Amino acid sequence: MLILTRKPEQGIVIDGTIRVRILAVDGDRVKIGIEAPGTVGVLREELAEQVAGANREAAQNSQGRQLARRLQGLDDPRRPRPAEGDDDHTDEPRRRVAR
Amino acid sequence: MQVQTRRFGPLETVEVTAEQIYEFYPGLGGFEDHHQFALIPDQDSPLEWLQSTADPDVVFALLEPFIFCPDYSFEMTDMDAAALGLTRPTDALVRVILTLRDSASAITANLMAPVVINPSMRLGRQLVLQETEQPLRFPVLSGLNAVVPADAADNQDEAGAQTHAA
Repeated sequence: MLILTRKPEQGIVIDGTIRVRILAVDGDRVKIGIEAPGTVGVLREELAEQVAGANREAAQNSQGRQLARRLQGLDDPRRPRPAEGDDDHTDEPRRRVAR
Repeated sequence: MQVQTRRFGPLETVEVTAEQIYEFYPGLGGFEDHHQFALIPDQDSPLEWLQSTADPDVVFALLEPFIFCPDYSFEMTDMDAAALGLTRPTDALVRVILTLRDSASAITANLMAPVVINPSMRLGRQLVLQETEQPLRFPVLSGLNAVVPADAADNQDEAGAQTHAA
């Protein structure tokens, strides 16, 4: 691990494209600002580990066929493909992905 | 193109079109080296398989969360929307990763880190919802049981009004 010491307002540049700046220090809390390209993920460590753990669990998918069978008979909300004829469902999934 | 998958255990080769190939930058948590995935619909269920083109063993089962959690919603940051090339949030498709546990009925869905894809640009990413209390392991079948009775009643009332929804 590379260890640097910074004062508030000082920064670090990673790979020429990622900037980390110490914004404020207050007791045992440090406020850190990060600028990075959209292709770079930035997450609190504990969250990143939680998600990685859950993904790894999910990827152990040798029971995939069982999974599919359990969900058979569910209304399929996907838009009907041409071959499917009228497979309309009255409840379109609502996407309140608000910005 | 052909993609190798072990989604059901044994190695299979599946034919996919260019439209089914998505780029994920950054990669999924725990799988940061996997940037290209094929989205393969399951034949018998609403599941879709998110299959890494680099490794047949790296495959995730995805499901539309609104099927079992109709009120599921979250806010997407400008950064994530821009990275996905989304001009409107409604252009995005939202999926969640499923895990099958020991007991056969214990399917859980990761509502905390949904997978959002933009089909027109074939980009995808897993968002980690940091500000919400969405569960990492939401029990899918209990969600379904809560939804289905309500749907049956609604459909009877709204069948006439919904004909425009294509």
